Formats: sequence, C-alpha cells, structure tokens
Amino acid sequence: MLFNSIEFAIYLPIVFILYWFVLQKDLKVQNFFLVIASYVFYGWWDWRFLSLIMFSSIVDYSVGIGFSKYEEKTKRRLLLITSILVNIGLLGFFKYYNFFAESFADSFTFFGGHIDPNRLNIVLPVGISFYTFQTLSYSIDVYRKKLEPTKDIISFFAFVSFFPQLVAGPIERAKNLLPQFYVKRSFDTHKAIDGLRQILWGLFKKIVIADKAAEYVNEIFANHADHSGSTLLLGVVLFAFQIYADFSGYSDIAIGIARLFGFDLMRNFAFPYFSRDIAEFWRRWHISLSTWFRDYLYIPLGGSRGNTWNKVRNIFIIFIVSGFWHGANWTFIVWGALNALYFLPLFLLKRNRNHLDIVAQGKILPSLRELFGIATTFFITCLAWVFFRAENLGHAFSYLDGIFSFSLFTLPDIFPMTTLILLLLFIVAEWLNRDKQHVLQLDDIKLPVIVRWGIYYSLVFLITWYGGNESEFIYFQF
Amino acid sequence: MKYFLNRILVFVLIPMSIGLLITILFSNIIPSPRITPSYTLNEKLFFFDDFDKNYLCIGSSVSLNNISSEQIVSGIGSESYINLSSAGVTPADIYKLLKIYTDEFTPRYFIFPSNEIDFLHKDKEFDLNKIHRRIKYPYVYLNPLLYLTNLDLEYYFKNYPTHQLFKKTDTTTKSIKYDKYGGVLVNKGKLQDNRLNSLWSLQVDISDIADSSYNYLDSICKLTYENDIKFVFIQSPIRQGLVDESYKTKMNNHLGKVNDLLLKYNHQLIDGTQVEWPDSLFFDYGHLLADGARSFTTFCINKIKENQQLNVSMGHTKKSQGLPNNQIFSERD
Repeated sequence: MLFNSIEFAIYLPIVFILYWFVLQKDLKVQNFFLVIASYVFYGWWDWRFLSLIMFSSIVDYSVGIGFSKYEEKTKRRLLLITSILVNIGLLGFFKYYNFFAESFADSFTFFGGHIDPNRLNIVLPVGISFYTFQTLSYSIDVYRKKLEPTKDIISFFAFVSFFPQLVAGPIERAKNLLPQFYVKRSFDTHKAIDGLRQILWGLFKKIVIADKAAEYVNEIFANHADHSGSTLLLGVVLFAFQIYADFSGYSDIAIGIARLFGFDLMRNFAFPYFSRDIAEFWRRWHISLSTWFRDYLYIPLGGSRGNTWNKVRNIFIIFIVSGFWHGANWTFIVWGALNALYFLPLFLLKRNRNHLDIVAQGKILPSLRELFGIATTFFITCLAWVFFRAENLGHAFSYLDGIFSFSLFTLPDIFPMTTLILLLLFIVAEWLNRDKQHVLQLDDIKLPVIVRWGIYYSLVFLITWYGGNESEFIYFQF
Repeated sequence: MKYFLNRILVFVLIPMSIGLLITILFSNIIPSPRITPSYTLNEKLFFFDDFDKNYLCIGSSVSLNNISSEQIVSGIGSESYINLSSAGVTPADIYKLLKIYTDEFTPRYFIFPSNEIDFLHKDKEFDLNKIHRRIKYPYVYLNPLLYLTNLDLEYYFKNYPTHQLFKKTDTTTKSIKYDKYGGVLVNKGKLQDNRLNSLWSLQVDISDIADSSYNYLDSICKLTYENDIKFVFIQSPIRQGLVDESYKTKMNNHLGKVNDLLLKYNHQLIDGTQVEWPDSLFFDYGHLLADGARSFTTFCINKIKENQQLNVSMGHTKKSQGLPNNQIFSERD
C-alpha cells in the first residue's frame, strides 16, 4: 500500500479507530492488532513475501531467546552468525544474486573466456533492505548485551513489521523502538496533531516537489544526448531535490503516522542540503542508515582508530557498502566511492566535525563563507547523484561529459518555471525552519488559527492539484 | 481525543463538502474523473455503461474522427459496436487496452484505424488495473465518488475548455460531441479553425519508427488470432495536398512491414492511401470532416466485404471468416 494512495487513506482511519477505541484496554491485543494491520499493509503488494518477514522475525526472535539461555562465547557467536547469515542471505539472494552472477560471467569474458550468467527471474521484495537491517540490529545489540532479549513474541513481531516504517525506514534500532511496545500508550493530542502536520508536509514533498521534478528528470536522463550541458545540470539539480523530497517525504509521513499511534521514530533527515561540508551532509542525510553502518560496521572494523591506512580503508568500506546497499549496480558502488573521496580530505585533516551546529543559527541569512560551503557541498553532491540516477556507468559518464561541454553556458532548453517556483518556496520554507524537526512544527510560533489553517489548506490544495499519479517512492526499490 | 477528532472532522469536512457540492452542481461541465492521463479515454470510460460488444474499435484520434459509427452500425446490422479510441495512443497502448478488454470480453471483430503518427507517439502511462476495473464495473452512478478517489485539480482545470467544446457544441453544424458508440464526427466549427491553423500542413518523418512499435502490432495480431477475433488494420489517408513521392515511398515501406505481420495471422490490411482523398474532406493533415469520414468508412466496409467474399471463394472458413454475403460482419451466436 502506498502512503499517497486512496487505499491508504481508507486504511489509516480504520486502523486508527480500532487501535484507540476498540483495542486500547489490552496492550497485547493492541500489539497483535498492529502486527495484523502491518501484515495487511505489506501484503497489499504481494502477500507471498509476508513469509519472508515472518521467517526473518522468527529467526531473530529465536536467536534472542538463545542469547538469553547461553552465556558461552562460542554458542553466542554461533547464534549471531546464524542471524547474520539468514538476514544477509535473504538480502543477498533477492537483491544481489543476478548482479554477482553477471559480474562473475563478465569477469570471464574479460579474460577471454565465456560463460552464460545463470540469471534468475527474481522479484525484489519491497522493503527487504530495511527490515533485515532492523532485525539484525536487534541480534547484534542483544549479542553485545546492550539490549535485553525479548520474550514477548508479539512485541517483537510488531517491532519488525511496524507498518509506518516497514518498507522504507527509518531503520529503527531495537533499543529505541522495541521498548515502546512494552508500555501502554496513551493518546497525546499534541503529539498526534504534530504527527498530522508532519504527514501533510511529507505528502507535499512527495507529490508536489518530488513527483513534479521527476517529470523533467526522467525526460532529461532518458534523452541526455539531446540536451545542452545547462539542461543536464538542471536535470541533476532537479534530481537532487526529487530524491530528497521523495525519501525525506516518506520518512516524514512514517514518523507522523507513528506519532498518531503513540510511537516516536528516529529522525532520518535534518535539512541535508544546508550542509557546509560533506561530513555534515552525511550526518544529516538518511541518518538511520548512516548511523547503522557506523555502529555495526565502521566501529567494529576499527573506526577511526589505528594507522592512516586502516582509517582510509574503513572510510572506503563504509561508503562503498552503503552505496551497494542501495542496489546491485556498479553505479551505486561508484556513488559510494565518490562520497568516500569527498569525505576523506576532511577526515584526514580532522575537519570532519567542524560543523555540528545548525547553519546560521539565529540569523536569517548565512554568511558568505557558509553560503560558499553550502553551494560547494550541494554541487559535489549533485555530481555524485549523476551516478546514483544513471542506468549504468556508461550512461553516467556520458551524462557528465554532456554537462561539462560548451553548451553549459547556454540557456537550458527545458525550463520548468512552475516546478522551479515551487522548489524555491520549498527551499525558503525549509531554510526558515531548519532548527526544527520538520517544517510544519509551528507550536512555538503564535499564528492565528485562520493563518495556520490557511497554510494547511494551501498545502492540501497543492497536493490535490498535482495528485494525479500514485507514483511509488524511490526508496521502495532499495 | 475528542478535541483531536473534532478538529480533524471539521478540517476534512470543509473542503470535502465544497468539493462534493461543486461536483454535484457542475457534474455536467466538469471533465470525467481522471482515471488515466488521457482526457478522451477518461470520457470514454465514463460515457459507457456497457462495454461488452461484438465489434470493437480502438485507435488514436483518427479512429475517433475518421470512422463513422453510423456506417459501421448499418454495415453490421447490429448495435453491438463500441469505439474505445482516444487521442495519441500508440500500438503499445492499444495492445494493453485490447489485452484488458479481451481478458473480460470476447469481441468478434477488432478494428484498428491507424495513422502513421500513432507509431511515433510516446506511450501513455495508463493505470491498467483502474481501466480494467472500470470496464468490468461501469457503474456511472459512482462517478461523483470517483472524483474523490482521483483528485487531480490540475487535470480538471486544464481539460475544462476542451470539455466544454465536446459537451456543449452539439448543434448539427458545430458538433464534435461523441456519438453513442464513442465516435466523434467533426463538422465545420471551432475545432476545425484551431486545427487549420496548426496542423493543416503537418508532415512527419516515418522512416524512424522503432521496431518496438511493430513488435506491439505483432502482439496485437497474435492476441486477436489466439482469441478468435478477426483483426482489421486500417491505414488512414492524409490529405492529397501533402502526398508526394517521398511520402509514398516511406508509406509503402511502413505498410510493407505492417502487412507482413498481418499476413502471418491471416488478418486484413486496408490501405486508405491507395485512393486520392481531396483536401476538402479534411480539417487538418489527416483528420477527416464528417462527410470525409462517411466516405472513408464506406470505402473500408467495401474492402472488408471484398476480402470476405475472397475468403469464401478460396475456402478460408476458419474461425470468424467466411461470412454470409448479405452481412459485412457476422453477429456472434
């Protein structure tokens, strides 16, 4: 079920009413209902893949029970390996099998031999990259004794399948989300209203900004050879906003819905395009994934400890693996490697933690130095986005070649005036509220009801104006 | 909770009531619910309350304007005819629409009146499930609700002027209103003036038609063959003033490929370009005025009749061929 679909508009109020009015008395029943509701939500795409979530949940629940029984290091390690093998195995098979089979065959061709890649016609289950990482975080945290293994199977199943964040995150840590299923939730009006505002802003981002930008991005990337350098540059700038609005829009809706049900999910985006360097960008972009890799990959590898070679190696590993997580394509690997290259100088010069505060805090405009930092970071990020969006490496290099041509200094042959005006309004709204969790967090601003509702209705109007297509969120494919 | 629910209810009810009121008051002047990005297809989908017919016509705007429903109906001697054509569709779109249709119904004949430009258009992004649902359950009384489930204000505003043209200008001299079978005969009127300015001299280069378009035509041939549906491909003419040697060469090349595909499955090609069609019959480069459409449809019917007689005399009586001579098409049993 898509958040921006009519089915979901019917589903959500029904689940909300049953959850708060019918089932509130018994926590276990309420949690069980969340499992059922989440399975209906997920099964709407393809009910067959529910078996994968159930399997992953059963394995990690059993591993957790195992951890509570065994104290010996070897047995605990064996249990952890089982969890890793099952989850990474599922992910590897459904997401990466064909990539490895083809790459293996290609390497033979390179050395003059020939074998046919044994491709399988596999459908990628929606959200598999997200829920496998979520369950893995549980097993690893329990193994490290940072979290008590749960014996409450219903809560655990609800934690793995919690519908707001099941298919595209935020990738929750068991430490944060699981305990919320143990305690009775009470309805908090303030929290629910703020959740609705965040949902509204998320829908605006997805339907008005991302989907509108996508119309031009698809055309420009598909026929890049027919467009001037300036148009190609415009295309990648629009893609930068498309992917941001699409993914952070999903996160906003997910967090907002969770708040309606009394849950707090972690923040996933913190206005990343206002970052002054690439290190700050990565602290603000897809936070749940970056911190996952930091905690479960980078730090176990040694992190920033050891000699320079080890540090450089760890940086490259984390960025390349992060790229590869997005998809089985060399373009994602190059995207990750390129970001590692951007990050490395800051890291080696120990300047990667220079900007931990909010840019131009307390001011309306940034300083020239800050503006230069923001513009430079945005530009190099855009160059990397070319690889992320391209079909293959050849497409990406050809696109970049097209940008850096003499036609870069001509007027773009596509000029989406309405989209650019909407984008400008969007950037201004984000800039003015960059110190908040989301743009519509209006609690501390005293506005008359009529103005407040005017803002909401304007957004609703724009959403219904452009809401013709129920297009999928980009991150569903990852 | 009570405060929260009250606020939500008020917030939601205000725009919904306004929307519902507008829909009820002005339903006759608002374009049909936006089930697809195509205005003409949406109008079709909400115009019919029964899609199950023996004789099906799907194509682009030339199928809407160049085929006279009257002539077809009198030719088949039956009312069981539907024209589901919509502007700008490609062979790929037609294949997908036909697939949905044949999943649900079993037409006897399928007519695809084509213009070479159909093979050059960009495919439409149809939500096939929605279309399927609609032709299966064509409950017109649910239309007001469908506006709510297909909210796209931009679409309704953009298509409002076209819609007025289609709905309101229903006098005999200016009509471009759909007939009850889904065809649109164009007389002299507003649309004609607009088209004359922009599309009177349109010429396209058909030498670059992608193989994928022919592949979809092949799929249409196969689908109709497998479902025991007689398929007739009609090549619509362009106005005589635009025909030159270069056009003839390219058209022969195009139709050669088309005919090879049709012959594989024993389907019929009617080539309207073999006859000269005076400019006075057209309102732009290739769309016929009402009189032109009537003449062209009669021409097509005669060709089909000739083909059937030929099939009978050659003993080709398989499937839907070999029909009685007094009927151009045969009724389903």
